Amino acid sequence: MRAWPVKRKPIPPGRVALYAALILLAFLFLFPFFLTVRNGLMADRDIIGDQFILFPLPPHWEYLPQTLFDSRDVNILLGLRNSAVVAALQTFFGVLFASMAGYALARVPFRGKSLVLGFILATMLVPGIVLFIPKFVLVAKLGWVNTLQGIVVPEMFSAFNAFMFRQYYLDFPRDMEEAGRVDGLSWTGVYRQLALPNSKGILTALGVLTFISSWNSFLWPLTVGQNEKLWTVQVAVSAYNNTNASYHEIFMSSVIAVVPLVVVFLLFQRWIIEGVKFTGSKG
Amino acid sequence: MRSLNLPTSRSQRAPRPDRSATWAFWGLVGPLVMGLIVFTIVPLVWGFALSFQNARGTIEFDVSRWVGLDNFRRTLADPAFRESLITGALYAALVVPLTLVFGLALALLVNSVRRGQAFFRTALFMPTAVSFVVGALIWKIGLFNGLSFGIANTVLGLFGWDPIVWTLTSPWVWVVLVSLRLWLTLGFNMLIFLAGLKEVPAQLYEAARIDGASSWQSFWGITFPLLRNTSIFLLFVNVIGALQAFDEFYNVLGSGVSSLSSSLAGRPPIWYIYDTGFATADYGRGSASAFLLAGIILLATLLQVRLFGLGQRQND
Amino acid sequence: MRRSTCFMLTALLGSSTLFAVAQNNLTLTHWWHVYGADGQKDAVYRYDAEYAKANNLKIEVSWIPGDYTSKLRAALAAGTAPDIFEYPAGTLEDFADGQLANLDDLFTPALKRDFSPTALQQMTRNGRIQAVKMHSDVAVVFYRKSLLKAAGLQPPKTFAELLAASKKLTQGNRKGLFVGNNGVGPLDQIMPWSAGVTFMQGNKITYNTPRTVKALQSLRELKNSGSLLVGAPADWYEINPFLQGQVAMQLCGAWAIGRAREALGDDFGIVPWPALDAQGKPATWDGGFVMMVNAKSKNLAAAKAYIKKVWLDSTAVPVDWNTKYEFHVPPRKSVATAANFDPSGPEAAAANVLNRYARQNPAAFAGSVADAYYNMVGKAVNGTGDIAALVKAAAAQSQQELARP
Repeated sequence: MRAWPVKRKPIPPGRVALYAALILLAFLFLFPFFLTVRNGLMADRDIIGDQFILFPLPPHWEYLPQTLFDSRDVNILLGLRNSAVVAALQTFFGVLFASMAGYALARVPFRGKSLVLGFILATMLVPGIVLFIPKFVLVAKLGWVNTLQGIVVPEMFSAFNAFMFRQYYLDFPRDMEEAGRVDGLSWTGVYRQLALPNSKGILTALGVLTFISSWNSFLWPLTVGQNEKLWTVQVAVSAYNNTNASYHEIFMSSVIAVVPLVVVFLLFQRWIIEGVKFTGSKG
Repeated sequence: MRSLNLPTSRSQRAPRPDRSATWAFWGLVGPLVMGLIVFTIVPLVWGFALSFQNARGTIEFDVSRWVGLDNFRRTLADPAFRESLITGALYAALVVPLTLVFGLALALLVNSVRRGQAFFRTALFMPTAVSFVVGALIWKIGLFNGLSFGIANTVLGLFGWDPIVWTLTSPWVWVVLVSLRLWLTLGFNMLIFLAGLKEVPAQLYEAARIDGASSWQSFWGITFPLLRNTSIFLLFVNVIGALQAFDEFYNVLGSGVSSLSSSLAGRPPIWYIYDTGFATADYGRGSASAFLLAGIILLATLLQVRLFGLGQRQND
Repeated sequence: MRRSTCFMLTALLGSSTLFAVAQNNLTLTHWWHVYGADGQKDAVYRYDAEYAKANNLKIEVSWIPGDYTSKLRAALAAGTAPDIFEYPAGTLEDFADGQLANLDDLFTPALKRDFSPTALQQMTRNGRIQAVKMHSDVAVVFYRKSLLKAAGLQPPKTFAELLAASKKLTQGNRKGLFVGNNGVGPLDQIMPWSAGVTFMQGNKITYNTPRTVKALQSLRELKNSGSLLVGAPADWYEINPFLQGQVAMQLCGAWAIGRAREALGDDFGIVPWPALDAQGKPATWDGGFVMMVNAKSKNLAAAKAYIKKVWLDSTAVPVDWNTKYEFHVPPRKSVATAANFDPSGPEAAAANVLNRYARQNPAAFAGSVADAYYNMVGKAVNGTGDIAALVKAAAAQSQQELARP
């Protein structure tokens, strides 16, 4: 940043308009969050009433424990737990496998490397919907319908992440690697002891992005995890639509499904931004 | 990754392959490749085989049920399939340009302020945390329901307008669907544009300023050309995303075909595939429709490659 | 890393022993779709748990949200279907030969006579009984007595009266009638029926008639009258718009009678969907659910024994199911007798509507044959195109689909 000569200037009108536009946009983007919380804390007759109420006073705080613990035969706590387990497993294994493959594709000398890379990239071109039915069939053949691994395993091989790791490891310093080789490390040793510990940034970044998409996925867990013991939180929220749920229950359950990710967002903001940046510049 | 200031030395001579390297290579690549074979290639081949047979109520591959191209022919002859393509194309034509233009506009706005930049960036990116399921519920019940208590109708009421039945009347249903997608995906697009903007060297602007260029001129002269690769990447991502849209349609409009046909040309393509393949348990036709759609997406992608000359990467 | 590779290998080789549940002697699997009334889920688990306990086996219940029928059909095709499952009544055509177990041996002639003729028809496929009807559902028009009285109206007996009432009852934010968010709801079938239309006979599609055109034309007129509630967050099968005062009349399943009584006391009544005109008759469907046994079940005998004991031998569970949570019309005379409804109440009225006016399409009017018709209805009612041309084209497509092997 340059040091400007200190001089009190009136704020130019352009600035004001800029901030006004940004504040308006931020309001528009955040309003649906506010609306969800508001409806979640409001009695149904007030939600549908003719008189518009900005925020219920006093709020019906009791709706939160009601929805969490005792609501419409939907166990949303279990849904949260399942989502956490599914997203954690998919993130851990997904990122691990992708980084292993990415490193090998970038660095380990092997003659057919470009063929393997081509194969991995080609799978990215297959639209998900083509696979939807046969993938379900395959999972059924394996006996994995209604199992945790049926939800987790088929979705944890990301060609995209592998490609991203490859792009990252292409820029990885060779000197460090060669020092490791001289010290007698094998290629997997170099990966495990040098490459992996030095890529915490991208691991976190792609990990958080994977976690988010895993937490938010719907059609696959709905199709494979049929037994309610395996419902993820998204399935649980959608299940309210099948019952005579009241509006505040639907909105409160939405709040419950969204809050964990908002927390993840705020905690890992820096890494998400890094990850998205990397995706954009390397993709 | 540019933020990591490690010396790069790609020009150095690469180590030679040997047997231990081959083992290591397959050991490292193995899990991913194996997973992709099992969960992408096998289903792909299986689905392809099913698309040539009468697979009503069955998923076994069975040569005696071979029907040749019949499933493809029937899908192409079905008016509902053509309608679904129209819906898909229309949706993409609305969503893609709006996403790119607004994504860039948001990035420029956020990039042009110092104070509070982090706050605005976070606020605009926050909706990415919401799933399509939850987003659709908020849109359908909270914002755009057809009664007077819906927020959109409440706002219209302030101006003395009558409530609009958003999800059932054209063109309003597009407002609902497009705004939902924009809300959920603009943040991601903005962030990628922002990253692109940060890479534009500040000296360029400085030089342009000295040359007396207006900020409008330096946008078109400097920023826009340098964002070309970023834009092409986002174009691909958004076109594919829009053509494969399912969740928002399904969750906003609810199941039931007849509710759609009035306000949209038809179901979007993925929904059509879901209905013919999954819901009516005709897995042969479902697969055939899926492959037809995949072919169309592939064509669209190739067309873009032709048009925008992908492959010239500026960052390499 | 080595351990994770190991996990992957076992996982990929399809060994499900890693997560498999320890089994005792015999486990039956049983699927239900998600029902919405209070206590219904507990009831389902209770029926199965009590039976399991008494017979020293295990029953694993799955309570399934979302697109239940698609999932079940996929599971049947993939060979992962449960031993016992429920399914919407009247759609046995969805199944292929060899998917459903024959249940004839569970029925005596007297037991067959106990079921209503329509129910029995819905339980029979290719001359064999392959399903047991658990309950019948019927669509009726709910109306607020007080509102009609205040407007000087009688419960509508013809479509013209219904339309007039709907217009007159529209006031401020309240609309006259709710039939579904698309202006059609279950009327895609009921409306032509009320005009006397038959959808198909033998191998012929027969709905391409001026009567169908008039029925759909009238629906369009209703939609355009401005008195119809559309765009509600709930759809026709939920009674909320009626209970919340957003409409004065609503087409809904009789299952909502309990909730209506709870919210409105005596201030509501029900009538059948009225005849289109003098040539027509009131109409409704005989819906509901049936219970079936998977023909490929490894525990076929045990599954059939469950059906016999719980759903056929005694009336205890059927009475509980049909009356305690949401109201259903019992498809069996003995169950109806045991349920002992107040003859002047809405329950008895709903049963009466069902028995007098329920219609049904032939089993073959399903899948792509019927979809050609359903795809068209929305356009006919909500669009501006020529209805006669739309009906003609749809009927031709139905006929073509019917001719396919």
